[in-house]
Amino acid sequence: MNLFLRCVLLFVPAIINAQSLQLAPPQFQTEGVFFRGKTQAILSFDLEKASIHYTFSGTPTLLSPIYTHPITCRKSCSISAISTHPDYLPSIVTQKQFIKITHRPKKLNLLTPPHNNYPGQSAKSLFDLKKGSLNLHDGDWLGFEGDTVVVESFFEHKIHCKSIIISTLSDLNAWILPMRKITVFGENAHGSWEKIGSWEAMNGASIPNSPVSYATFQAVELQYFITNKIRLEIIPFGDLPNNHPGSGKPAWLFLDEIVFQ
Amino acid sequence: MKQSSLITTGFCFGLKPEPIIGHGNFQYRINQNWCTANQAEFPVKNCHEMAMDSTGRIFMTTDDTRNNILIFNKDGKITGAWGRDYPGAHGLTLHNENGIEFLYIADYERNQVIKTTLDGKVIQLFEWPADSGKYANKQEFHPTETAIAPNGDVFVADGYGKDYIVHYSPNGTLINVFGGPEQLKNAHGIALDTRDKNVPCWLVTSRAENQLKRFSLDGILLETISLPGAYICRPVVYQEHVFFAVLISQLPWDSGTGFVCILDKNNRVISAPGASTPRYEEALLQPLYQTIKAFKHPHDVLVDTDDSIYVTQWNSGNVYPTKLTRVS
Repeated sequence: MNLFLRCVLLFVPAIINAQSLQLAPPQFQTEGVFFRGKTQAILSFDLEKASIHYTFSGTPTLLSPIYTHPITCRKSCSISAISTHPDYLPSIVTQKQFIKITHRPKKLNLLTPPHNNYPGQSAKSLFDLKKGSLNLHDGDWLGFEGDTVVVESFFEHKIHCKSIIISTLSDLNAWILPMRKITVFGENAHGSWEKIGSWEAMNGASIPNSPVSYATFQAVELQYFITNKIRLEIIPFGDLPNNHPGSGKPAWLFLDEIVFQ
Repeated sequence: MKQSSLITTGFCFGLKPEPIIGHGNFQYRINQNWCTANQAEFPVKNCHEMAMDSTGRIFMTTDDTRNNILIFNKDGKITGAWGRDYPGAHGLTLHNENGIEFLYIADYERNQVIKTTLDGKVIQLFEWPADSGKYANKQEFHPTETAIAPNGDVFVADGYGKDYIVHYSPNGTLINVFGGPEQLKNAHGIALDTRDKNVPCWLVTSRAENQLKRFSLDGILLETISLPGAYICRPVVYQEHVFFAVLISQLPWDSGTGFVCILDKNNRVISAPGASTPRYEEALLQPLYQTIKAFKHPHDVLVDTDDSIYVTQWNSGNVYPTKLTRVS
């Protein structure tokens, strides 16, 4: 065994040991997700000699910009960030979405009542700019036990809504799963509902990879249509899968915000 | 007050020195290999709590029923093991009664607290408080911790049940219940706080609220200490400080975001090994969060006479305790 190889074998384990501790990801101090006009993304990581690298697209690396001050967001965006330190392994990536609300309805009618245990603030919860937390009883979540959810929205003036984003919760252990299908209708000049967009899960709804995600957003792109009344029909996941403890029973659907852009 | 990243001791040939975590005068070198026992010989699942006897032996509860109690020496060697009947072995409190030391094992699955000798002989059972009027049946009672009052009375925290503190006489007679869901959310731990010798009190965890609450010995709520970001397991009073493991700093419960925390005599955070620098703004602690993944889910701390800290972990890959050696 040559001298170089001996040195490598001698010192590499020590290097790995010393650098085996990983950093936690940086913290987004901005609580809200939804905003009107503009908002600021504030990140923090309070450890001496540590840095935060961030990006608006893809995965941040050591070459990504270093966070030094709050980031102003004037349009919907997703910020990904890592923490780094000369003596520790970089953190995993943390990501947060900021979603701009372009059109705010004057009124929402919730034609499907939520379950008594999860009433939230009824329809008001769906356009109050508040993101629900992991506490399902925080008043921001509406829970539905397997029903198709129908919502009608009314705007003060006629609008051209380009897309709709629905914010949901996913927690397989709590029997809460994403949506299967969304259909959007606009009221035409004759007072009839006209289909203006839809989204459907590929191959039916799929089980999410992450066990819990309280920030699941589904966008529906809409065709050009001018209206002041929009109707949504949201079809939930359906029955829980065969390998689930609740197999055969309907999955719950939790909604906390509907965004019109 | 900054958290050191690393010290330079042993730094040579480009090698990185050993990690140091903590703040101010409470900084520690991490030793995750303090115990290198064989899992086949001494298996552990969740490692819950620890207590040290007068000879320096460290007792630990684990919910692996092949050896619910493991006994370590200070070098991390396992010197003894017993217990196969404690599926929910959780809280562990050691109490010296007239020169003889006993263990109190809070078993949330057996719905009991079991008093034993140090070698595992069962002395007494503390059953669910049927006469309290707060419980419909035994299955509602899931004790997580025990503390002993100066007069020998036994106080049990029902941390996985209905969040009451149940007060028994030494022979197991129910005397009182206090706390409960109106005052405590996840009353996971309880400790006798005699730092003010004139006003001894109970320090009780309200884990889901990120708070410690001070109660008088007869159960009157005296003070709430807010510790945002700290899902506190049990408080451990050592000299003029309070030490505790923080299971997580943010939900969900298996987020792996735990750390260790130390309070001064005024119950202000002065060090948080593994977490962000403790900062107060207008007397309010700013939320703490994990910065270094030294731990996943710390569940208890045991402070040694040389100021070292042993840390057990829940749901962290069947690991034995980590040792933190104080360096400042």
